Amino acid sequence: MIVAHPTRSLTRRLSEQYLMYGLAGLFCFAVAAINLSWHGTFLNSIPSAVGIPLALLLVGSFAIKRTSRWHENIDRQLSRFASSGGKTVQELRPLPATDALANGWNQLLARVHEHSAWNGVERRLSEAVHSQQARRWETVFQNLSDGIVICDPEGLIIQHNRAFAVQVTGSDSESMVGANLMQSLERLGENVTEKLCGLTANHTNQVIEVQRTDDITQGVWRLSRTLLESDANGSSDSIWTLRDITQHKLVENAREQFVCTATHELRTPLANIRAYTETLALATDIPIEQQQAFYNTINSEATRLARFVDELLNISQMEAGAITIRKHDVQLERLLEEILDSQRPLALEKNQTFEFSVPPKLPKILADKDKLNAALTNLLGNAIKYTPEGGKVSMRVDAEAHRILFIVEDSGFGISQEELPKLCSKFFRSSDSRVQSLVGSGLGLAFTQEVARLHGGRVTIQSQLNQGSCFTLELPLH
Amino acid sequence: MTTEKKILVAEDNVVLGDVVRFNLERAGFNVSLVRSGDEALRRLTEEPFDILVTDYEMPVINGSELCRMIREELKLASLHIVMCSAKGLELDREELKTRFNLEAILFKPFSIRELTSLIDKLNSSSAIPVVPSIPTPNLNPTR
Repeated sequence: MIVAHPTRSLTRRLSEQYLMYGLAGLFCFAVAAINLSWHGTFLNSIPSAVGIPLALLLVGSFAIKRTSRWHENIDRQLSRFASSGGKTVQELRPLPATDALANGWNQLLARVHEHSAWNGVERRLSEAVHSQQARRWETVFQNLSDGIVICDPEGLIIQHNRAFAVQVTGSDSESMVGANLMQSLERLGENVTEKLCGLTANHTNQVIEVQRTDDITQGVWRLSRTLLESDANGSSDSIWTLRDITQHKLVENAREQFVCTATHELRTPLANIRAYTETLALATDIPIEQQQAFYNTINSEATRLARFVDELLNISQMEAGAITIRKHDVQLERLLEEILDSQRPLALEKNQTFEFSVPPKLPKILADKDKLNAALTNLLGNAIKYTPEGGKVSMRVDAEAHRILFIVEDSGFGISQEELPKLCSKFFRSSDSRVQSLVGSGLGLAFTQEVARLHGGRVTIQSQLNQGSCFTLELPLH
Repeated sequence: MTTEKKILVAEDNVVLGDVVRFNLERAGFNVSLVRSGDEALRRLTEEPFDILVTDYEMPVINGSELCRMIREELKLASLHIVMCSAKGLELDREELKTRFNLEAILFKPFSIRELTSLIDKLNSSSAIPVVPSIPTPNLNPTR
């Protein structure tokens, strides 16, 4: 009897069966041959003597086939699996049997299918995550404020973001993919081409600055190139960054201008002080009245210097964003008196008509006295400074229910409509030659406006060139 | 007084202009003071001067432009020019000096003594001797 014992190998089982049926066949043949030879009918019985062993062998081969059918099935499946390169896990089928081999195969398949199912889930999940990440990166790329371009080794644009299109063409609707980068960049301005030539000739990572025209307000960009890792041919894609640095340049220029003005402002009173003290020290025979006049000059020049240093300090605080105000109850009468005391003499010196009017009763206000003093002194000082000799300067205070207005009016040079919006910008000074001939830092009004803002108020300006100006500092009353 | 050297001082800073005039007059020069570049130019076309002391930054016509006009348009090649400037190293001193043949460029705050001794030197090196009507102040006092 043939038993498919799990511990016996396939070869052993096959050879056992083969031997058993083979030997049975041989034995039957031998017995039949001897028996028939004995009876002398050997020749007559040859058909049955051959047929029986053949039939036995046929039965044997059927039994072998039956024994090895599941192995053959597995063998076939594995061959197909191998020839597909291991990609058709899903096509491996379980065996419809319950013996140990089939059980083993079926369990293995179940495991494999389970594993591949999890793999699928994992792959789909990671694809979802990646596509979300890719979208996020795309959003970042598109919304960067710097223009970014990726270029192939021939200098053709592979990809660019919106900021690049806006900076180069002025709108984000135009796609430049496939265009030559150099030609695209030439649209920035006439001066750009030369600089770009220098850049392309050199194959290292570089940064250059390009200007649309000689006038920097028209636009200045910083263009930098980074080469990516080169491929087998030694050519590489490149990433270009285009940053608009116009504002930065303007501030830098204004700062340089300011340093220039400031040093001039510091040197002028210093030159006067030095010249007068030296004169007094050198010449011992100067009449006493003249000596006195010289000392007075030195004194007023020193005062001017001190005032300028104060102004510088205010400016540096303003620059650092560090103007802080400490509000206290302010006696407006006292404050205004102090301002008038310091400014009225300056107006009288220039033979200006100086008018001052306040309501009989002024409200108490909550403010930083020193800063408010400086702001109002600034407005009044400017009115006197930029009004010619014999002109008219006035200061009026209007107290309303919820606000108080300090109105400084003059019949001075006035400000052109073009310059009016820029008047409160830091470092701005009018190009009017009458203003240019007078000293000033271009920061007083910016300071005044900042003080007004910090008090919750504002400065409004009305002006007519050659007619005069009216500056109003408005503060809320709480 | 005909031998007095004539100096034109162009300085928009009135306070400084006054003290320069005071010192140069004490040193025996005939000093005229103007407050702008165009005024200086007008005075130079009207009468001859020996020395010009000019500021760099002035309204209308600045010091550099004034020097250019003096040398190129008025053709006053022999006028000695001393420039005073509140601009420091921002100015290309050597370039200005050679371009307009300036005697010196003084940076503010300059020393009055330095200025007067420089002008004295220019005076003594020029052909016409000048007899100062007022004694020159002691230029080397002990400190």
